[in-house]
Amino acid sequence: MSNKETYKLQIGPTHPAFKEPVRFEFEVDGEHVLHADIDMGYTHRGIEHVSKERNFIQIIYLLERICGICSTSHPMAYCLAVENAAEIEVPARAKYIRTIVGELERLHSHLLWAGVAAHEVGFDTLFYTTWDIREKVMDCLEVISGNRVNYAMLTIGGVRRDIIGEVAEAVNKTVEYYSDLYSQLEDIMLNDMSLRLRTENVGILTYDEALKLCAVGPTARASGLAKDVRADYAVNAYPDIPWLKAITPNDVGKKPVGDIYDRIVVRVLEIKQSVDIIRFCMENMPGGEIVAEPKAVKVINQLKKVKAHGIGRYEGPRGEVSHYDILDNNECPVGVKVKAPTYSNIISWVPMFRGAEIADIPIIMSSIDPCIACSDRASFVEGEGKKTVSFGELRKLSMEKMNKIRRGL
Amino acid sequence: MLSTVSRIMQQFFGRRSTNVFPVKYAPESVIDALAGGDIHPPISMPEGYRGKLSYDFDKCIGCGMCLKVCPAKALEDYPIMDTEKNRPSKRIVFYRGKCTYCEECVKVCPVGAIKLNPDFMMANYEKYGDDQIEGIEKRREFEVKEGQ
Ligand code: SF4
Ligand code: SF4
Repeated sequence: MSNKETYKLQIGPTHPAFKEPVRFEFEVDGEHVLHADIDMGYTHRGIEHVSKERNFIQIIYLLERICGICSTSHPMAYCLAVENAAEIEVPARAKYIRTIVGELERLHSHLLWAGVAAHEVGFDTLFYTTWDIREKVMDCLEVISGNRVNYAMLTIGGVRRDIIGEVAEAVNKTVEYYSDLYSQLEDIMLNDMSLRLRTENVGILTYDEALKLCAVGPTARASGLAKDVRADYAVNAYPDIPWLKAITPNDVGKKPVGDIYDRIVVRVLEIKQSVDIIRFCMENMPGGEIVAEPKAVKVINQLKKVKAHGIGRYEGPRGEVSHYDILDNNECPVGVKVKAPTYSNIISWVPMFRGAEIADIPIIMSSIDPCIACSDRASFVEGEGKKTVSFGELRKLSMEKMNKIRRGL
Repeated sequence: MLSTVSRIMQQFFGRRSTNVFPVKYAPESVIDALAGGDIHPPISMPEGYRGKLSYDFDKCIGCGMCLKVCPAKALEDYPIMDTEKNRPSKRIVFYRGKCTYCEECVKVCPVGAIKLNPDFMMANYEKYGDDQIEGIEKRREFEVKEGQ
């Protein structure tokens, strides 16, 4: 072993196996990965900065475009943050509609992920199957909101469209469709031999590592860490659902290992959980208004009088997304801070890749369901584009920025 | 295993979930090819679909509220002379290439001058070509230029 040299293997920023630009530098010994280094920042768009030049209503649609798949999660966290700052009470019916749209989004996101993961291991039959199944939830979202991808359903203080009549029927039909299909889907996702061989004991993130590295969402839950914002810091209709809890592999009587297979288990179970939540919401939806103030211009004027800061937390399909907004008697916020779930999960890649085989790199990479565009929040534009910042320096920079915001600059 | 084989068969011989693109090779003019009538819409558009934007010049009162809420800054105002009320006013043009189809302007307009229609085929090579700007003809006709 000692006379063997290790090699550096570069993958990315653009690579056919990756859906988004991110660069990895692997240290490999033969077929085995010894260490992985991650380099982000290739798809930074400065959304947080642009937000400061848009008014509170305009920002919703900008934030919707942080991520094409979590196009409800980001506006949700943002609206919750602004409502938290301005103490706006959301009508009960709006809370239920928000939950339904959020869960439909989760359903489509998990199915999309299942297809991507299947494609990464070369199981294209499953890829076509899951994406075919996913069409139904996309159609349902189109009926509800008028668009398949960017739903534009949320606004500050409520939602923009109601779920009644034919739309409600479409939602109920979708719920039935997925309930009927679930056992088939579970069978093919959890019992297929080729999928198991590729995913069991691959890309392991242990419970301790998940805890230490602050993993979130299905990535954390697959390692046995029962954390889910929907259950822990419930918003929307979630507090009303008595049986809601964080799903871990324990729910199918399996001890969590934290491998890719466990991540599949968690996501498959969450598909069922989402369907159940939507059914619960459809059955228990209260009547009344769907928005606190329907006139957008009035909302902007109301928020102009607020000087406060608010935080919004929401469990997106990939994990916790949180937004922090600072309102300062202006029609634009003076600070918008976005923390996307992948941002918390990036570092979990390092232990997952350790000891993995090169052929497993794509599936390990996609097993956390990464969204690079969500997490690229900073980019160096000066120097050589690379800089290492120590903890002390980073703290100093953060404090300086906070003080700048406080002074209203 | 058996279920996988039956799935493969289904995928080979079953109904396609998506529409096949109407032409095989890139045509000279996409617009003409689509206008040829060989294609039916992929799915019937549900009510409330947010597609191609249309604007009613005569209904608009020039209040400018739509300008305030548009997240994409897809609209632009220009001065006109309102002959009925005999005072200067404003009217709007919409750049479809910039529009995000959020419907915010539709909701905010006090007179219902803006509508989103079920039409979704808007691809074009020219981002700022005439058919990508809603209301451009009226602008050419009625805009009051400086010094006029
Ligand atoms: S639909 Fe939205 S993006 Fe398009 S013009 Fe209206 S407000 Fe602007
Ligand atoms: S909101 Fe309606 S009436 Fe007012 S300027 Fe816009 S289109 Fe015209």
